[in-house]
Amino acid sequence: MALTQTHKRVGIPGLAACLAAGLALALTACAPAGSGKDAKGDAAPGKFVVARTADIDQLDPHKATAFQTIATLGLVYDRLVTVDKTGRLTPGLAEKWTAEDGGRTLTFTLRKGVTWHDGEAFDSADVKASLDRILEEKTGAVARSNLTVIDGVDTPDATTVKLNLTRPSTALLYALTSVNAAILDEADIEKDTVGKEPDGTGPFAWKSWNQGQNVTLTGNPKYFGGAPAIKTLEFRTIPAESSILAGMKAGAFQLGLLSDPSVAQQATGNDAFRLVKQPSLAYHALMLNGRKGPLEERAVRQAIACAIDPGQVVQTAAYGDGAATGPITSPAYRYSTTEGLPCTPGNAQQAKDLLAQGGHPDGVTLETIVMTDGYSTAVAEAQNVQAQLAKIGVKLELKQLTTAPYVKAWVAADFDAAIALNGGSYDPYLMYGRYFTDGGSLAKAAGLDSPKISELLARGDEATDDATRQATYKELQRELLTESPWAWMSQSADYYLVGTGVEGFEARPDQALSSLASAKNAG
Amino acid sequence: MIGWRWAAARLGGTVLTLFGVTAVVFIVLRLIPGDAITAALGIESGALTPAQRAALEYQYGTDRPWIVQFADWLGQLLRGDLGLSLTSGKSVGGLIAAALPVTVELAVLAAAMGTVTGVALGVLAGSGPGRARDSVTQGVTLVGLAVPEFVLGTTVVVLLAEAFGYFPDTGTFVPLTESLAGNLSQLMYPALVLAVGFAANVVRATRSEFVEIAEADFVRTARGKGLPAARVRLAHILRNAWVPIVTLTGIQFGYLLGGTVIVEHVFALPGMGRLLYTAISDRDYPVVQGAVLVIAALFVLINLATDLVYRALDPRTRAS
Amino acid sequence: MSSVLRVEGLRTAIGDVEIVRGVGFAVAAGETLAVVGESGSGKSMTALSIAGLLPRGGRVVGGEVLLEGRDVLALPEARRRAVRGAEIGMIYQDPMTSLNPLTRVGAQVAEGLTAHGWTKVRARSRTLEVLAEVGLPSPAAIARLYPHQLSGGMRQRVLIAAAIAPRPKVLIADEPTTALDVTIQQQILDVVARLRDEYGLAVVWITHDLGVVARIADEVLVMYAGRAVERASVRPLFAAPAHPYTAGLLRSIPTPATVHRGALPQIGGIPAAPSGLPAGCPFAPRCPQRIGRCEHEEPPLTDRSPGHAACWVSPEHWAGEAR
Repeated sequence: MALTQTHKRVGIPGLAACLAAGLALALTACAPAGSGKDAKGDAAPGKFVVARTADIDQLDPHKATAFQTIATLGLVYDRLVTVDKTGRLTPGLAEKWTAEDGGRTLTFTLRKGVTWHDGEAFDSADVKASLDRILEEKTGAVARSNLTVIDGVDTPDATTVKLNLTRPSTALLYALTSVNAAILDEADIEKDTVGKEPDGTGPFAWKSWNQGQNVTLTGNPKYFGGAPAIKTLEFRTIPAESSILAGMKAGAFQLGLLSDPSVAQQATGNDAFRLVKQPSLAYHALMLNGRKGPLEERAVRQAIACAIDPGQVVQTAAYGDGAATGPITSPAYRYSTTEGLPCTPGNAQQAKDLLAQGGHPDGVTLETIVMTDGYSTAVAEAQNVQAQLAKIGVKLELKQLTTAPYVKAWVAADFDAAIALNGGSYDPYLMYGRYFTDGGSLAKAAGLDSPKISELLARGDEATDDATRQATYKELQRELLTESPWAWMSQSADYYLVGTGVEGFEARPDQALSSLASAKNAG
Repeated sequence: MIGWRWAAARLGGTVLTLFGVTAVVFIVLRLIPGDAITAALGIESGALTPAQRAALEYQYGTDRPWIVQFADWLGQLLRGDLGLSLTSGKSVGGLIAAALPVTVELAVLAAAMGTVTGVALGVLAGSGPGRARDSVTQGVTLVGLAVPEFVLGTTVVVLLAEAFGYFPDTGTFVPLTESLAGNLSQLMYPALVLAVGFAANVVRATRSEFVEIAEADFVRTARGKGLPAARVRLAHILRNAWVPIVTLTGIQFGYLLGGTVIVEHVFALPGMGRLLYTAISDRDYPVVQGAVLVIAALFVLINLATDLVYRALDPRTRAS
Repeated sequence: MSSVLRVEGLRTAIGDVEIVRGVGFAVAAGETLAVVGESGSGKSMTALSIAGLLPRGGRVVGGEVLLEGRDVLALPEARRRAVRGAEIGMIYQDPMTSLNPLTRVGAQVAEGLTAHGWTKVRARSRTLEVLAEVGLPSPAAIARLYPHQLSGGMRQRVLIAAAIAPRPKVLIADEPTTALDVTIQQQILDVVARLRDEYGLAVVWITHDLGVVARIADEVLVMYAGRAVERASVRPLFAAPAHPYTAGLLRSIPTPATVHRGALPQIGGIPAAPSGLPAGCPFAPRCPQRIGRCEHEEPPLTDRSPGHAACWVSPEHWAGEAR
């Protein structure tokens, strides 16, 4: 009797609850079977999907700074010169180049037979129009400050471009390899369609952009480097890194880009993809404002640099992914990461002695800005550095800021110290010219005026032979470590999840995805 | 029933509300630190020469006084033009038209599932307060309320991938008009995640209303007539509990519209939540202003609909 | 006379406390039994126990309720539900809250019929018929109204209509006129009286108002602290109460003789609470007739012809009684 009573009581409401639950379960059961089109190995041949957390933010290569935008536009547009992953300059749209007049004239010989995606022919007029556009202030081009050494651009004929420089500069060539120095069609510049309808000479042509969802490119069969094996290249925006990992496991993507070490940690032991860890040109550093207070004393700055063991920072913040580094991160210029420092990094006693030498035996307090929403390891790094420095009596007061206030404070040098992740370059002058030369555009944030460093940078850039350049930059590294305007910690690590069937993909320290031009998905 | 004066008053109130909302958003956007330039360039913005910065500000339209910018925007709005995105140059109206159906559909699915399940479970619990089914339901509800959407969503995504080798294909959003199966396969899981929290609230409200009304005199009258328990529960108790539940559902639905951002993030859905979040990070003023206006208008509409349903359900509220 | 409803030794508790501590009575068809007492006497609980409408936490712990000889309490819930409404009808104290505010009143009458197997068509016509019988004008129009569109008196008539529509044998009325004003009260009393005669109902009328008792009752049951303390026909009760409590109640009714004489006589003290009852007669602390025995032993209902009373002291021995 009790049972029938309960049974009757549950009745209709119970039934409804079961129905609702049943509906949910039924959909669970049918969904995985129904949408298996992206299951392992079913990707349409020639289709390649790259999953990353951020969408591109604009279409004008001269103004792009977000790395995902640059990576994408870098497959659509070419540059005069390119650089391989060891840092060596290689031909781009220019087949060869020569320096004359003591390096003050650079003559580029352009490739023949290159066409734009819309069918028009490429010639030197396009190069001139592009460079002029960058140099014009009202464009607001990012690369402008790196190209100010160009005095004038001449185009004697359709395949020759002559750059007249105010002084010799190796950095210029490297600056020309940046997507920010992409070559645009003169007609597009005149029609003002740059930034609206991308039209380049690169291995992939623009197809469509569903804002916030995906960007689709198609292989350019007429590419001068050979038609890509990938017919359709899709960059899909998946905001959560854990979702990218899940998608790779399910075989939904061929390539996944991660930056959060804690997610990368989980990306092992799976046969759907392999994890590639690539050291980046970008570097983590504790920037110091040497223009005020106790930091004006070199010994104090050295003490700080000496007290930090970068290995510990990397271990705490990034599970050990990322090598300790000195100022220069380019693979073409490898020097000792500690020569110049009057100590062994991480030696607290030496650091304390230096601090006393600098006149602050009881330590100092530094207001330190940290960006919380830019990259995932900032706060962990800051806290570890804070702990390490506390051992020598240097107290970091951490100010955790979101991007906008951080940028504001950084640009105005409104800090004693800043936990920073700065972009690097294959060329040391491009890396530090803006910071440490007289009147450099970021000199304020650099926090130090050093005529010696400024002179070394200029000398290195103007050097016309390799040996001199190497020796000069070696001395630059040493001098930077000695002056310790910043405490350099480690190179960043990027993570690539590469699908099992993918061949020919190569990760690069500059985060470019140029190897996709020759990669393929063997399925 | 619905008089002209009532309608006119509501309309006037709506316009005022929307105006207030957009004015506040407009001001707050410009007060928070950073602009489109720092958002786009980051520390590189420090390398801009003054001329370059001026050129960019001119492009973005942020070099003019606020009042001029606002008047301009309002003028455009009255002509039906929401402006262009600062980052992509695309029409704000177009961006919203693409993102809104995603969020609305997600919210509707979540609200529908959440309401049905929530009411059913609430009645289940409320009809036997203190008994096993009540305690179990309340326990489950507590878990549903306590687990954050981010955790639940991520767990679902990871579980699907690990256990079923399945990832909800969201390369390009499939609208309802194109393919029902495709559309549902993209939205069902995120909607389920949202429905959990939604249902939990509905269960609580339903249960407490149910328990309270079960003690009412007219319920005793109904039982006294010898009506079967199910009829008492549905026609008398639930029928009277509907009104607060409907009100709660309406309010929750409104919040759902604006609160789908986390689920959209985890499941990579191109909805309004994502659109707004990205636009705010990028300081893309026209997109933020347009999106907020649309969401506010929807919120007002939902309130209106809730009111109308309320009036339809409860004859005592109709003016005689 | 054979009784339609007979209650014997009914005991009901809420939680651990016994509210009804052994009540018994019988009602015949066409007869009205008034159950009188103050609040807390257990009179409402008695009614609810018979109908099976106890609130949460309440349960019958003893006794029998015999409807035409069948013990209703022993029935399984499904059968009890069939009895409820169809054979035992009930009307309640507050007509303002006793109707579902969101359903039309006609539907609320009809559902009490369809629940017991009536077809929709027959239920509808019976509804109109019964709304007319309770004296409501234009039944078809009234049936379409919502409760908030009716006055208190009209709502109570609707409730009465709903209760008698299935032609029950017993009608239990739990203070149905307490919340209405005096003129309406009289109308309701008249309606119920008329229906009782037409349908041959056995009516149990709960009240605290002796004036009502005088007007409608055939038999009276006086309750105090969960028990019957006196049971008699109405005239003998009023003429010669056999229990000091009843006597006290009668004395407190204003008469032309007493009305201008200052404060009405009251029964001193407060009504006994159901929990923590003292040993012996629960009325003893307030009783002007108490003797030593009253404080130790609770008196049973004894024959005090023509009725019964639960008191150790018979009326002839009452001290200082003025009439």
